[in-house]
Amino acid sequence: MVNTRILVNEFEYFEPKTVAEAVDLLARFGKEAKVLAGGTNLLVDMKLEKVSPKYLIYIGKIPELRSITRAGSDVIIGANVTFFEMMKAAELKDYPLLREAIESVQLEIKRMGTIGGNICNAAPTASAAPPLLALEAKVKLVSKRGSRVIPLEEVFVGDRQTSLAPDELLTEIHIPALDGGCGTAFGEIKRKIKFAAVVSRQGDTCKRCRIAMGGDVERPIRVRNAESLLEGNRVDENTVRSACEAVLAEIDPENWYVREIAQYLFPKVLQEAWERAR
Amino acid sequence: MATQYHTVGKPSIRKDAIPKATGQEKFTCDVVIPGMLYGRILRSKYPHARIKRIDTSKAEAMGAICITFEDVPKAKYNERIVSVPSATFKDRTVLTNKPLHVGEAIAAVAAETEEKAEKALRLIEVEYEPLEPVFDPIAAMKPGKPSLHDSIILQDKVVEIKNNIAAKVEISEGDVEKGFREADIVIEGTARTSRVYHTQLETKSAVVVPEPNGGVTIWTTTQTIHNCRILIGEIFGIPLNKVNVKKISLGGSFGSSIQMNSVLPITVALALKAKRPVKMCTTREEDMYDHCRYPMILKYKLGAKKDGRLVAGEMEVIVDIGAHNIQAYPLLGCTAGWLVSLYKMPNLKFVGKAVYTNKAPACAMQGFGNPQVNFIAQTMMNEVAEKLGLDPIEVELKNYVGLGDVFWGQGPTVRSVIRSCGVEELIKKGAEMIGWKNRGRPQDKKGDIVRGIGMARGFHTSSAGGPMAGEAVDFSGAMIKINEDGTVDVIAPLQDMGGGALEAGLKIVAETLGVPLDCVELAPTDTCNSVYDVCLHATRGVYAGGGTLKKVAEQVRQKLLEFASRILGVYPHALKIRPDENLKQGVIYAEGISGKEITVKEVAATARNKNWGTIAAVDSLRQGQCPPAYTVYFVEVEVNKRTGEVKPVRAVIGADCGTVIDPIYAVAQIHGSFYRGLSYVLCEDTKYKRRTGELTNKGFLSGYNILKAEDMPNPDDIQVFFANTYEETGPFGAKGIGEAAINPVPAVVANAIYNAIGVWIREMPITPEKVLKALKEKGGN
Repeated sequence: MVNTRILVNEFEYFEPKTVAEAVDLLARFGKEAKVLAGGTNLLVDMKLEKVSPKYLIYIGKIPELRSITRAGSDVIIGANVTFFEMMKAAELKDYPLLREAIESVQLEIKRMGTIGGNICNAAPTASAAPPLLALEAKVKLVSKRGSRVIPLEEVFVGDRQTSLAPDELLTEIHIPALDGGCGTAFGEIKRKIKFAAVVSRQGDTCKRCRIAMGGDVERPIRVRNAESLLEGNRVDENTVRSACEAVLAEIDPENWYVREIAQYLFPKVLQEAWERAR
Repeated sequence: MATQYHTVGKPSIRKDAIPKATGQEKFTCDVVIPGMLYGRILRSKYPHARIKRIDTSKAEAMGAICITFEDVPKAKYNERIVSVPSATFKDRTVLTNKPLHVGEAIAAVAAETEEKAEKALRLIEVEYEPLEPVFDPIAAMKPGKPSLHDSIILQDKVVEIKNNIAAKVEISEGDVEKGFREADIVIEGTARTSRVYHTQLETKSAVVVPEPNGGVTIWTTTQTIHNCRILIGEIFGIPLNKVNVKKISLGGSFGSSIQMNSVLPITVALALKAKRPVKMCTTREEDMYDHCRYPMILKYKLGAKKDGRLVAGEMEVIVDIGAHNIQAYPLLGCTAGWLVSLYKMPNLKFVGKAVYTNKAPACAMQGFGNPQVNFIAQTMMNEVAEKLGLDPIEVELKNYVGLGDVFWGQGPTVRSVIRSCGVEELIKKGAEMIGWKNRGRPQDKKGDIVRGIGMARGFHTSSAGGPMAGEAVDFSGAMIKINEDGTVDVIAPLQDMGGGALEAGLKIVAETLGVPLDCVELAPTDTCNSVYDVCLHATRGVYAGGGTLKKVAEQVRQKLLEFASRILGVYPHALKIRPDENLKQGVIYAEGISGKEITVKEVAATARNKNWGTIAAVDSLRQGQCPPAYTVYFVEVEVNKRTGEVKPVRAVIGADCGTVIDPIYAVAQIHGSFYRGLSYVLCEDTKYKRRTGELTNKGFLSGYNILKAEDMPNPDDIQVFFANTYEETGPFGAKGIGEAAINPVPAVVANAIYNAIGVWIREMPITPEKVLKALKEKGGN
């Protein structure tokens, strides 16, 4: 039986002040190190002895990871920005679905949990994942070897698994500006299923749409099949139904309850985004 | 009624509010003794096993003190001694060499720090011989299944256990066959209630100091310091005057500390071996493997006449008690009693069986069998009403046990006649407030999201008192003394589970003595300086504990008036006392005679200076009744027919607790219990893995689903009101409220769900999955 009152395993603790220092440490320790941000997942896992890192690299003392800025039409969120700070940020006012998704996070997690940590923990239920996927966010990964910017979609490779190399640090999240006149929506049934949708329309035809799903599924994903069934078509009962079929195809056939509620929630979220689009 | 009092019935800020809110209150885990060691417990990996070999040498080599089954007393005991010896089944030892559930204690260590103790624990080598486990209570009763206990001890006699049946109770009144023949309608149903973890804030803890005289001083998580003392004395053979259990704040309990907690005797054994103080604070994971609510399978058959009058009832209850029999026998008796006391039923048959399984032992939890029985009885009564086309309220009013009827407060041996009853008043007023008449029929409700209103009523005993001695011990004791400055010390071993029983007690003392509440304080209390008090349980805090304080305070008042009479030259019975908030004193005066006035302080100081002695009294009280406190719940829920989600949105709750001692805490008790009950009925359960016998959440609180603040109805949408009743046998007319506040909650939610969507769900927890499944099955028919 584990003892969650104490951290049983011993580790060495670092507080780098710059990204360069942090990636230096990652290059040195690789897989034996863990990056500590808000700690709302990592410390729990350490107490449960699911992970026992030998080195802990706390990135909360790196000022540049704590800001939200604009670069051209993109908004750039530092990896160490908390959910609470995101809720208050003027730069994120244009992305109401992101705010909606974060709003229901419990208060303690909102205060401690960070956007970078939420992504790197890669839980299928990650609060920020569906809206960021639907917004086509990108992430910046830095290592001693250099840096790269990749679509967020490529980060999530499995249940709690990311494509990050052991020496890479996620430093920024880039959110592109939304198309003028597009509609967005977010809906969830706690711990079970979440949908985010971004839709542009031209009359009764769907010009462009991005649909993302998370929850009691394998990993947060874009449902591309649903998107292509809608794009270029009239949005009506039939197309929504076939898009919903495409959504269901991504959910475990054994998971009857989640399939049931997905059929209720998905059309609702899609409809809401559609009606908000101009 | 309450207006005639200066303190009773008025709101006050409880004395532990500020220390608790600011983190200054001390709990067992805050106790630090110089030179103390930290203890940790090694717990079984297997649900059923024999320990073949256990090697502590590596742990000892690093300096840890270790104990195993070999180092502890071998006599079996039962950790709960609220019942008399003839009803106390003994089946456990301090540590075991035959663990019966995952998490049962098999060894323990003490070391200089908790980290070292944890390391030492992992160095202990254990060779297990795994035995076949049994998890299902029905399967456990079948022949050929592994036996958990071959025998137990009952009153020093060895009693054989057959088919894992730990206890059985059968009760029969009238002729049930005849009753069903006379019925116009007979319905049958089965309910399953969940194995809920108490989720109290404080995990079980103990600090034990071995004393030079061979005794021990103890701080521990408990509802009863005196019973802990008796048990430790018995188990370790220490005279009771050398066992001192200090009262310390309890961080919530919900009943889980009615028994001496499982870690206290282990800590005592460690401290005696180490010859040093030892502190043991369990983790949440350990605590989750330590106790839970009694889960039940309840089969019920009900017969009624066309007008809704009940004629017969037959109930069979199977209780999955887990690995130890803490109080299954009194539980079964109580369970029968709750049914008998709910409805007037001329013909009744009750069979209850408690079955051992290889799971964490179940124990008392707020309601003690009452919410479980209430769940099946009140939902099936509702179903009868619906089937007969009658208003469920009318049917309740026709059948409830009320004024002048006999009430079973704690099983068949604790009975008394009901002298105060607000049921009718609560039902009628509550129905008006919620808009009962406009609740509509399920078949008429349209849309994906529908609302329904349910009603359920319940009660709980106030104490296990009664005119004769029953199977439960029930009396309290206290000492009260007036200090030389007119302030008052109350030395009461009574505990407070957080509901405010002690604050109520202080108000009762202030009211009786006629002094301001500020003058009265709880003195630090331990088992050496206080007289016996059985335990805080059975909603007895205000009625029996408060009743005792009133009795003792009256004796103090008498002595005070006698001393004042000597000074004032006025007969004692002609003197009165009033609290003076400016003087912060009680003032004794002769009505209508000017100049005949003196403060309590002046009397106490004079008594000292003239060597008259201390104005004090000590006494015990056994209440001669067990009056029921009643509650009536009206709850509105919103059900999403597409997702099965149930959201409670509004409630009207009426309570009859006699005189309300403090309106703020009485309402708070009801709010808290409503929330606790909602979580019980809608989502909580501890589940076990079939093969390994582990909890599916492994004991992690993060993996245990409970309702959170955001899932609850807004407190502004919960209206609470009180009946205008006076219980003549209670202090200032008061009864209890504690457990009555939760009992009807599961039933009222199920009844509201029926009113919304037209299906009865009798398997707790009522999860969205179950609601959706039930709707689909109904649609398919």
